[in-house]
Order: sequence, then structure tokens, then C-alpha cells
Amino acid sequence: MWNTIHLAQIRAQAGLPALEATLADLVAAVAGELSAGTAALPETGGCEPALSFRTAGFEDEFREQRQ
Amino acid sequence: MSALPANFQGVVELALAIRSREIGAEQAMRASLAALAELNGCVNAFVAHDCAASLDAARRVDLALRAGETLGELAGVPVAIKDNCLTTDYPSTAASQVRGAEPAAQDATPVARLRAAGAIIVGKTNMHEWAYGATNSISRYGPSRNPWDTARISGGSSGGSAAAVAARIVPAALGTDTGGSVRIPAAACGVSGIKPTHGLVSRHGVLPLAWSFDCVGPIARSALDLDLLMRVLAGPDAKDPATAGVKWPSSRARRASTLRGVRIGVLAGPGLERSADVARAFDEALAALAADGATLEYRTIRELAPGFAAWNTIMHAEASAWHRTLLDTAPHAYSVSVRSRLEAGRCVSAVDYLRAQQYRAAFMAQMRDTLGDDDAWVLPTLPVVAPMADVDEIDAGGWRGSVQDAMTRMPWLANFTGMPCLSVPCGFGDGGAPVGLSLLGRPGADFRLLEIGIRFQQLTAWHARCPALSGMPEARDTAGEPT
Repeated sequence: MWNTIHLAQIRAQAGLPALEATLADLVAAVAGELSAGTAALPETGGCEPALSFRTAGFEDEFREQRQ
Repeated sequence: MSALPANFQGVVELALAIRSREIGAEQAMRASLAALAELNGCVNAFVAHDCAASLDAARRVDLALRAGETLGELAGVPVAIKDNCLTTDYPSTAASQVRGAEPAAQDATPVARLRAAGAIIVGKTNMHEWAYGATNSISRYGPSRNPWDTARISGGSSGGSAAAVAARIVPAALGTDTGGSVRIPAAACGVSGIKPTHGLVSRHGVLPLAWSFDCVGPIARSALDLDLLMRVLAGPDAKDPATAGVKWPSSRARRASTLRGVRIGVLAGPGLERSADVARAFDEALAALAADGATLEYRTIRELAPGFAAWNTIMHAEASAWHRTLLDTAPHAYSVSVRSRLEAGRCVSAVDYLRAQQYRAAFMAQMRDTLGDDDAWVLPTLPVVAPMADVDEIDAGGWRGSVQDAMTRMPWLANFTGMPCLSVPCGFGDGGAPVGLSLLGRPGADFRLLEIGIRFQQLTAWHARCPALSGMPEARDTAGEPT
């Protein structure tokens, strides 16, 4: 995605109207890559989201380290 | 007393010299400020500083020491702060046009802890705008430059902090790390840096990028210095729930006389390709570890590519959530690249965000199982040495991609899993540019990584190498992209 962004930066040097057009293309490209990346994630068997690393199996280990 | 000028001394050495009054804090500060005046035009590391205030603070330290007062472990040590950490005496702009120049009402917790230990804040350092990039090429202040070669990038997003330490302006600086932003510039500039276990250092008062991954970490020349800094920085803070229940060992990292008995997994395989010069320096580092008694075994992590995708999804969504109001009210104050990423993050659905977090849980379980009894994993911090500033794409051992993707290609792993990761210099690659070695460990094993890092630096001394500081050319271009 960063190749796309870099090309857009070069195009943006032309001025604001070009920048706005570039931005729309760019957002679509990045969003598309993010969506494709998420769609390709392997199934996890319904495990809970790791909203903190302590909820993802390291909790006990972490507590041991602290003691 | 060391024969080195004060600004060439490390944190531990300088702090001891000041406390024992072998060096005056004012003398140390004058050395730092002289280096800043001489070199900042070349490296563009500092975006704000105050000579008079820094010297006043140093004189107060000297007066207190003469009066017999007991001061903190960092008394009189000059330290720099990344520009996304709130400070009461300097603006905190995150290198963005969006932020005003008013100082904050309160210091960020890590800054407050440094001050409480006696450190003197010399100024604020340059960074990639909003910490949302790994090159430091996008900043309202212009790009920072690599002290080893000002035609090369410093890496980012804590590029100014790493450049300031490498250029011997300050012995230590604070950085933040969401996908490698402490370790990337540390490796690129030939200094040491640690991304602590998620939650070990408070982020209160630090402008966030993505809270699932954000960490505050120090940059210094040696692992020994990082050990001291981490003991000051780490610990619970009611203002950052991620730190709940976390304690830092009260003792220093042990000084190991050998690595005998230490089990180190060497990460390799798809997704971890590196250039020939980086591979050469890395292999020599492995040989040094093995020669000192460490047991090395190769490890492969499956599914790095989906992990990288999930990390990106979470980071984009969280960054966009934090920036939503600013993005609505001042969209043109953002650079094109940062704005486009923030706009794109708004397109991430709640389902996709949670699927990425679910995958993260499964990925971490896999990492835990793969770690087994290993004390640490090693891998190069970056797949290539710091690229030239005008290079867009690079090759690294058969992988080709943008400079930005190359910089985060290895470091993201520690942020995605919450694991601590220490980067230390391990040699030089093409063009005399530094190469970094990363030590990755289980959550809470920061202390263990520092022990191994300290021993590695006793064996190799790459961290003591210094760039040719005189005669550096002025940075050619200090303008970032139009905003």
C-alpha cells in the first residue's frame, strides 16, 4: 500500500485539486488492501478477541514473571 | 573519571559522574547544548529546546549536590523527549500541523518519572507525523537525518530521538513504538532501544496511535543504559489501565559472565528475508552468541503474512477512531499520506476489527507455544540498512517492496503480540550503515532480554562505535510533503 501512497504524494505536488482526487484514490486503495487482508485471515475457531495480550494466553506466564 | 567528553558518556556513566561530582551537571549540559548547536542543522533531530532553562536546571542539580541533598538516579542527565509526549515546558505537536504550540498542563507520566529521577529535559525530538510512518520523512519540521550518513533516513517514527542519541547530543531519549518506532530508528542509527512489554510503561499523556499496540520505550547507546532507564520508567499508573498489576524488578539486570545455558531461537523463513549485508552482520552476531555459550536453534513462525494484515487492520481502525474529530475539523492540516491512512481506517468494519483481534489471540497462542523454553528469539531488526532518503523501493533477499513496508516488516511482530523487544547494534552493512539485532522475549521478560543484551555488548562493543560527527553536511532538504 505504501507504493501507492508514495505515487500519490508525487501527484499531490501538482496542487490541491489534484491532491483531493489523489486522496480519494488513495483511501480506496488502502481500504481495499485492509479489507482484502482481513478477508484472507484464517478462521480462528471462535476464540475471543485479544483486546489485551493478557486475555490471549500469556496471562499466567506474565504473572509468574512478575513474582 | 572518564576521559570522554560528557556528551559522549552513557547514561550510567554520566549519572554516576554527576552524583559523585566528578562532572558538574552544568558542564554536562553545556556539552550537550554545544553538540546540539553544532549538529542539529545536519540531523534535524530537535524541534524545540531551551538552552537557558536547561542550564538553570543543571545549576540547580549542582547546587543541591553541593548542599549534600540526595537526588535521583538520573540527576543532571540530559534527556530528549519525542514530540508526541506531553510536556509542560515545550509544545507537543507530534510533528503535525494539527497541533498548536501551547505546552501541556501536565507532563506525560514517562516524562514525569524521568524528571522525578532528576533527568533534565533538553528538548523535544522530531518524529514521523503522528507516529504514523517509519521513515521520519513526513514531519512539519522536515525530515530528520541519519548521523552515520545524512543522505540516509533516520528511520522512524522516533527518528529524532535515535539521531540525537547517535549524534552524541544526549545520552538518552524517549520514543514510542506501535510497529517498531523505537527499534527501527535505533537500528538505523546504530543505537540501542527497547519496546517494553505492553503495559510495563505508562502511556498516560502520550498522544496515541493505536492503543492495542502503543508502547513508550527509551533509546540509549547501550543495553546497560536502557536497564537504568527502564527501572525509572516502568511501573503501574492508575492513569493507564494497561499498567494495572505490573511491577518492575527492583534489582538491575544481572551481569552475566557467560551466555552458557541461554537458549536462543533464531527466527527465519518466509516474511523474514534480509539483504546480504544485513545477513552477514547478523550471522556474525549469532556466532558471537554461540561462542559465548548460548544454544541456538532455528525457529519458523507460520502465517506471518496474515498476522501483518491483522496488525495493519487494527492499527488503522484504532488510529482513525482517535483522530476522527480532528480529521473532520482540520483535514487539510494532515499530510497526504497520514490523512489517507486515517480516512482508510474509517472503512474498517467492526466485524473486520474484531476478526483481526480474534486472529491476534490465536497468533499469540501460537507464538507462546513456539517459544517453548527459549529465553529469547533473535532476528535482524530491519531487513536492510537505512535506505537513502531518495529511494522508494528496496530489495531484501528476494523480497521487494516500499521502504515503509521494509522498515516494519520485522518489528510489527512484537507489537502484535505485546512481547518485549530489544534492538542493539550488531555491525555495519553496505555503505558503513549500522545493522541492528533484535531480541524478542515472552511478556514480562524485558529484564531477561536486557541481561542478554548487556552481555552481547560486552562481547562485541558495536554500540560504542560513533559516527564521524564533524564535517557532516547540512541536511539538503528540510521540507516535507505539502499538507
